[in-house]
This record gives sequence, C-alpha cells and structure tokens, in this order.
Amino acid sequence: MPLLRQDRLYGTLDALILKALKLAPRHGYAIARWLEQAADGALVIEDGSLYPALYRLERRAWIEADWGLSELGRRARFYRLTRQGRQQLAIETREWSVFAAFVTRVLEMA
Amino acid sequence: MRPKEVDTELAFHIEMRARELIARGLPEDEAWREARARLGDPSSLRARLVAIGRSTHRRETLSELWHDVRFALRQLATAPTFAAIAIGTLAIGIGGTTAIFSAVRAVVLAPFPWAHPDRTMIVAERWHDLDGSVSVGNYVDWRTMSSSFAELAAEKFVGVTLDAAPAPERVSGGRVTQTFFSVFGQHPLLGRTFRGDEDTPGNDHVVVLSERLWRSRFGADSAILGRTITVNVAPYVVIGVMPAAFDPTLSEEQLWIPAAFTPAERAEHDEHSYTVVGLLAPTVTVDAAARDMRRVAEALAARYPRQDAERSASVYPLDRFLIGNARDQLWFVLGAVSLVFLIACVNVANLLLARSSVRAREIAIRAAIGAGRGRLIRQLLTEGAVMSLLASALGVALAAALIRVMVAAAPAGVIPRLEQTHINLSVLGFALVVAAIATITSGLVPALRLARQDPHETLRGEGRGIGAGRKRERLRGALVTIEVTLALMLLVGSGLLVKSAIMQQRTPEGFDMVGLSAAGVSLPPTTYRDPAVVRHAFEQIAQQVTLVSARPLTGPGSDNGLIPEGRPLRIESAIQSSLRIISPDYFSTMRIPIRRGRAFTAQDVRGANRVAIVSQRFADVAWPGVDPVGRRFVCCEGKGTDAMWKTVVGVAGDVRSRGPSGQIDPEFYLPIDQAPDDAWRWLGQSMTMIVRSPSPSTAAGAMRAVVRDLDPTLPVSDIQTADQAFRTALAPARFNALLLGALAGIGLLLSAAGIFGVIAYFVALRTHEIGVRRALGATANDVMWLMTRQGLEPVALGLSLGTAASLLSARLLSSALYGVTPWDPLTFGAVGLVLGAVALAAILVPARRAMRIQPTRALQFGG
Repeated sequence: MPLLRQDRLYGTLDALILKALKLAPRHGYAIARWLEQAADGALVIEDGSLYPALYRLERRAWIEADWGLSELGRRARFYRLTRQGRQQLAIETREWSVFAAFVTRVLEMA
Repeated sequence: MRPKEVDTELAFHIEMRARELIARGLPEDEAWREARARLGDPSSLRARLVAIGRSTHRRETLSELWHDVRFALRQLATAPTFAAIAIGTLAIGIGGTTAIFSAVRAVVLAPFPWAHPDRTMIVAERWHDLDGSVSVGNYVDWRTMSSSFAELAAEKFVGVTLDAAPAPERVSGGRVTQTFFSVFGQHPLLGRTFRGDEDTPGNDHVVVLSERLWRSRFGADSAILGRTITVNVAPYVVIGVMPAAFDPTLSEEQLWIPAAFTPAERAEHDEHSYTVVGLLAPTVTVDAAARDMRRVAEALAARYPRQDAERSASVYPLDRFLIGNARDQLWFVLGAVSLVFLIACVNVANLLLARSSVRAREIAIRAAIGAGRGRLIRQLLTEGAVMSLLASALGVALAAALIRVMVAAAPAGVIPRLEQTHINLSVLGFALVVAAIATITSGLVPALRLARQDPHETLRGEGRGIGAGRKRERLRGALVTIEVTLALMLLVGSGLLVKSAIMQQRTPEGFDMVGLSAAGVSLPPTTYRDPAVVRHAFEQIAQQVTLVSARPLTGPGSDNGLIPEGRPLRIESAIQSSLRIISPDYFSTMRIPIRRGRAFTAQDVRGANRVAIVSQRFADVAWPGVDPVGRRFVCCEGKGTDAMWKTVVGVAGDVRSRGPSGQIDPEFYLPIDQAPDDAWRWLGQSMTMIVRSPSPSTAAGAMRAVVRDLDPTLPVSDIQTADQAFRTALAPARFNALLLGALAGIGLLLSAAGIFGVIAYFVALRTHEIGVRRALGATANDVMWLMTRQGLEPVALGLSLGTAASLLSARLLSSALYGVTPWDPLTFGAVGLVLGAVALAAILVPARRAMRIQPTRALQFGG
C-alpha cells in the first residue's frame, strides 16, 4: 500500500472540517468561521467549496447533520462528528504528519 | 436532503456571512452581494449539493430508522412498567387470537388431503327429515341411475377379529366397494388398493391395512404384501397399506376388506347400513347433484314402494359433514378470543393516551429545538411498530404454548384434526397488523395534536393543553364505553356457554352410574352362524352378567319403526324409537326404575307371550294419557298375516342414552330370548356386558372369565367404567367451557384493568377541580356524587350497548346452548354487576384519595 493516497491534498479540507467538528457540533457558517479564525488569515476557504465538502463527508457517514435552532433563533443544520468520523480524523492526522515529514525531507535535501 | 432544505441551509449561511460583513462596516447591500458571491454560482452549487444529498438520503433513511428504533427501545426502557403492561397485554391478545385462529384453520378451513375435496360428497338416504345409512339395493341402483357422480362408493363399518399372535384382537374395519379408494384419490403407501373384480364374491379375500395397524400389529414389515392374515377366521391376502393420512371419514378404520355383494344383498332395499360417498363429476354442482339424487330416489320409491316409499336422498360435501359441530364451537371460541384481542387493543390505546400526556413536554421540547413534524411522526410510528413487534414475538411464543396446551387438553376424536394445528403465519400477520394499527393510531393522534400546538404554550402550561385535555377526556370516555361493551359481550357469551356445560353435567342420566363397568363381546358369524346358536350363547353369558345390545351414554339402540295397536299397519303410523335387547336383570343392575307394570322375568321366554317394556317417553308418545301396560304394538319382525304383536308389560324410567347433552329418545326393550332372529345381524352379533362392582378390575376380571368359560377364542373389547364413558361423553362440552372460561377470565382481567386505569386516571386529573369545588363550599358527598355520576356515564352507556349487542347476537349462540336461554337474566345480571362494581371501585378509590387532600394543597398542585 502506498504511503500516501492520491487525494492527500484534496482531502486537506476534509481533515480540517473533521477537526473543527471534533471540538463541538457546528453549523456550516460556524465551521467556516472557525477555520478562518484557526488559520488566522493564512488560509482562505471558499464558502462555495465548504458545502460540497460537508455533503460528501455526510455521505461517507463521517459526520451527521440535524436541524436545530441557531443562536439567533433560526433553523440551521448542525453537523457533528460520528464515531467513524472520529476514527477518520485520527487517520488523517497521522497521514498528514507522515506527508508533511516527507515533503519537508524532500525539500530539505541537499 | 430535499432541495428546499439545501436552500434553507445556504440562505442561513448567506445571512450569517452578510451580518458579519455588515458588522465589519460594509454597507448593507454590498455585504449581501459579497456574501452571495463567496458561495460562487448559486444554481450550480445547489445542483451539486442536491445530487450529493440525494445519494446520501437512502443510506441515511436506514440509519435514521435504526436510530429511531434504538430511541424507541430507550423510551420503552425508561418506563418499564408501562412497557411491560402494554406489550404483555398486546401479546396476550396476539397470542390468543393466533392460537385459536390457527386451530380454526387446521380444523375447519384446511382442505382434507383428498384429490378433490370440493367434489367429495356424502350421499345419504333421507327418511322423514332424518339422514341415514343406505341399503345395498339403493346404492347399486343409485350407481346405475344417477348421472352426477364420477364415482360412488359404499362403506360399512364393521368390527372384525384379527387372529394373530399373541391374542385375537377386535379392530374396527371398513367393508368397502372397490371404488372406495378412487373417490378420495389417495395413493397407497405400499402395494395397491382393490382391483375391478375384487369386490365380487369369491375374489374378495384381499385386505388393505391402515398404516397404524401395519405398524402396531405387523412391525411395519415391508414384506407384508402377499402375506395371508386371518380376518374373522378366514384367510385374507394383504395387498396394500394406506398412508397414515388416509382416514377419509375420520372413523379410524384399521383395515379395509372388499364389500362383495351377493345377488341377494344387491336386491335388498330395506336394510340400511352403508355409508355412501361420491366424487362429483367435474362440472356438476352440489345442488344439481342433490336434485339428480332426489329424482333417482323418486324413481326408486315408485319401483319399490314397500321399502323406498318414504325415502329420498340428500347430498352434502363430506368435509363439512365431518367437521360438523366442531365448526360452530371453534367459531364461538374465535369470537371470544377476538373480543379479548379488541379489549387488549383498547387497553393499549388507553395506556398510550395516558402516556402521551406525560410525553407532551418531551415532544414539545423536541419540536421547539427544530425537529420537524414529519420527523416526530416517524419517531412515534417507529415506537408503535417496535412495541407491536415485541408484543408479536411474545405472542408467537404464547400461541405456541397455547396450541400445545389446547391439543393436549382436547378430548381425543372430539375435534377432528385439532392435532394438526400449527401457528399460521397469515393469522399472525393479521394480528400483528391490527395491533400495530391500534398502537400507532392511539400514539399518533394525541402526538399530532401536540405537534400542531405551539410548543411554547405547551411548555409554559407544563404539558396540560386545556383544549387538548378536554378532547382527550372525551376520547377516554369513548374508550371506556367501548371496553365495557366488549367486555360485556365476551362475558355474557362465555357465561352462557359455561353455564350450558354446567347444566349438562347436572342432568340426571336416568340410571345410577356408580360402580358400573361395561365390556363388549362379539360372536364371529363364521363359528356362530345360526340365530339360535347366537341366542343360546348370549343366554349363557347372561346367566353370570347383565347383557344389553347397546351401551348407555354412547348412543341410542337400534333404530326401529314401531306401530301401536289401533293405528293402520302402514309405515306412516310408525313411531321411530330405539330398541335395546336385554337380559331380564338389566333394570335392576342399572337401577332404572320401573314406573308401571313389571320388569322382565325368567318366564319371558321364546314361545311364551311376546312381551316388551317401553320407556316413559315412548308411552307418552304412543299412548298419551292412557296406561300403556297391556297395550300391544308391532315391530321389527313378522309380516302380513303374522304381525307378531308384542304386549307392553312395564314402563321404565327415561334414560339419556345419547349422553348428557343428548335428547331423550323413545325407547323400548325386548328380552334376549324373544329377540327377533334378524336382530343379531343388525347388531353384528355383539352385546355389552354390564357389572356393578366397587372395583373396576374385579368387574373386568369377572366379564373376561364369563367369556372365557364360554369360548376362549372370543375377545373382550372396550372395557370401560360408566364414569369413563360419562367423562368421554361430557368431554367436548367441558373442553369448550374450559377454553371459554379461560378466555372470559383473561378478558375480564384485561377489561377490569383497562376500565380501572382509565377512570382512576380521569378522576385523578380532576384533583384540582375537586379542590376548587371543596374550597367553594361543596361537601365531600356532593363531590363524590358528582365524580361517581360523571365517571359512571360512559360505563352505563357501555353496559347498555353491550347488552343490546349481546341480545342481538344471542341467536348465533342459541344452537350451542343447553338448559339456558340466550337471554338468561341471571348471566346478564351477574356480568353487569361485576362490570359495574369494577367501574365503581375505579371511581371511588381515587375519588376518596382526592377528597382527603386539603383543598388548599389540591389548588397548589395545580392539577
């Protein structure tokens, strides 16, 4: 089995979303805000790509969603991590560090 | 995910983003434009999301279902008492209905294992509205003259002596025409059945065995075919063995021998001893066949006016004929069990209704945090389904146990095919669906009403919507009415049938059963040919023990038309009555009282004045209001010039010969020595010995010794005490009473619990109101009276509805009742009283509790 999957880079957003939901269930906008704040401006995630990612993760049953009331009293879809999602996050985290170490090693080769 | 939900989600995102941008100082319209722009092209994004969402949906529905199921199980676990009672109640209903309906299916509805059950008929001779056996002559003529049957066959049930090691044995058999087996189209297990010419004299020494006899007597020997066995002292070659399932007339014959009619038999139209079965031609209906047979009978009546003048013929489907009474009995039981099931459903509806008020708060909270109505409804549906499924699983186990108990408790041979009962899936499915409808609707209706309400109001009102409460009270009132109605119908119906069974048991039999034992003895015609020899042999036995030609309690004696002196000597003048040929000591042994005249004595011999004793019923029919002693009648023998008049010398008390529930027949008795010569042939040269002794084994030993002294090769059959015979005769009624009694008990328990629960809850809900009334100056008595009146209202309505329904359906029961009218006031009164008392207790107990509470506290409670 290859060390790295082809979609490593593509999957980065997925990993970040899982991480965002590990701390607390959130609706889509709250996930976007958390990612913006966590990245402290270093990373801009298009709102347009956030939702397809969320729906994909939901389809893979890594996250699940339920309607609830937002802090302002509006109906909003709240996402939360499933048990599988939690496991997936652990895998993603491990793989990312392997990947990062590999990239670092390659780039620092003399 | 539906497109609408995608829109809602994206709109929420845009709004939040816009608010954020405004907060950062952007002008409002620019903020909104920017928020939208960040999502990219709205229509393509929406389409993408909808597509992904749709593929998620299927799997999600399943996982949501699983989620709902787990949630439902958790819900049930939080209220274990409620869950146990609701599921247990439903399980009783489902299990009972399934068991009984499975029995109905096995006994009544399942087709018999014949090739063409719908075309298999029984054809009987009809004489004055009575269907009876057929003479050989008529059978032979029917075969040639009727055009409705593909095949007709005749069978005479005979007792035969099977002479094989270790001892001779009497077994029941059938003398059948060669066509008999082809009517039913069942194939032999081994060998073959009779061929074309084997029912002609000289070719008829072949025998077909039943599987049971083959197993018990010949060790299931596969080399049995071709072996010669001794039947009635004559050699017969075994040609076939029929399978265990072959018992077309449910008579349990053990073997079949050919009915090889002699020319004399074929011409005999006056001796009716054959059962005729037939297979309808493929396109002929039962009605058409019956018309055809009536036409044939008319032609025969014209041809043989002396024998057939008053005889017609009737045709019935054989299956219905065989099932007979068991059909009605089982339908009654099914009716009772259905009522129990309905009561169970109403009870569960009540429970769920009560619980819905407890759950109003939970549901309101879930609605408030955004659970859609569809989601809530699905959740409640799942809960109902889970409950019904659990109840059904329990119900199946219960049904299996009930069937086992029922089959074990049922008296043998009384309910045909009962032992073939097995749990029927379609019935179980039906019960499951009804139970699910009951649970789901009763859980759903209040839930829907709650879901429609503004959740905030429900939460503020602590789950007591005033309007909903009033409606719920009305609904509960209606449920009480339904429950009382059903319970009353069930209890009245079962009560009447149970009372019938008790009445039967108490009916006097007309003789003293204590210590009576009986056993059969038959003289094989091969060694005892001459009537005089037979008479002499029985006379010898009668020196030691009492003899009678037909055992009491198991049926009437031989059927005879009897013409009292003074009436014209024509068949229309005959009184149909039942003859017993007896030894002179019969009345003293049986302790049957002689009401007038005398019993037989040793002087009533052949050659002396021909004498007879008649029963009280016979005397009342033949000579109403006149002393019958000294009167004469003609019967059973003699023709033309020598009518052989018999003189009545005594009147004996009536005996209930057909058993406890049977009618009393007109009967008459003749002494053995004066018995008509032909009688021995009617009786198959068999008599029953009777001994009264405190010890049944002493009695049996004495009877065996008497027969052995006469002829050691003679077998003694069917040794039985009168108590056993009586129990056997009573068994069907007792079994029915037991079944119905048990059902009525369960029904009463369920409905009492239901009525009690509803009314008590209803009164408890009004604690607040009671407090207000007390505070405003109403006395305790005033309030009690109010509660009682209002609580009893739906009960009274239910009692009247139930009484009306029972009276209307009484006609259905009347045929099954004995010694009780269908509107027996005692039963109706007792049932009404019991149900009224349950309802009253249900009102008074919580009402008194409410009364003890201080008005101020009741008000604080707020209800």
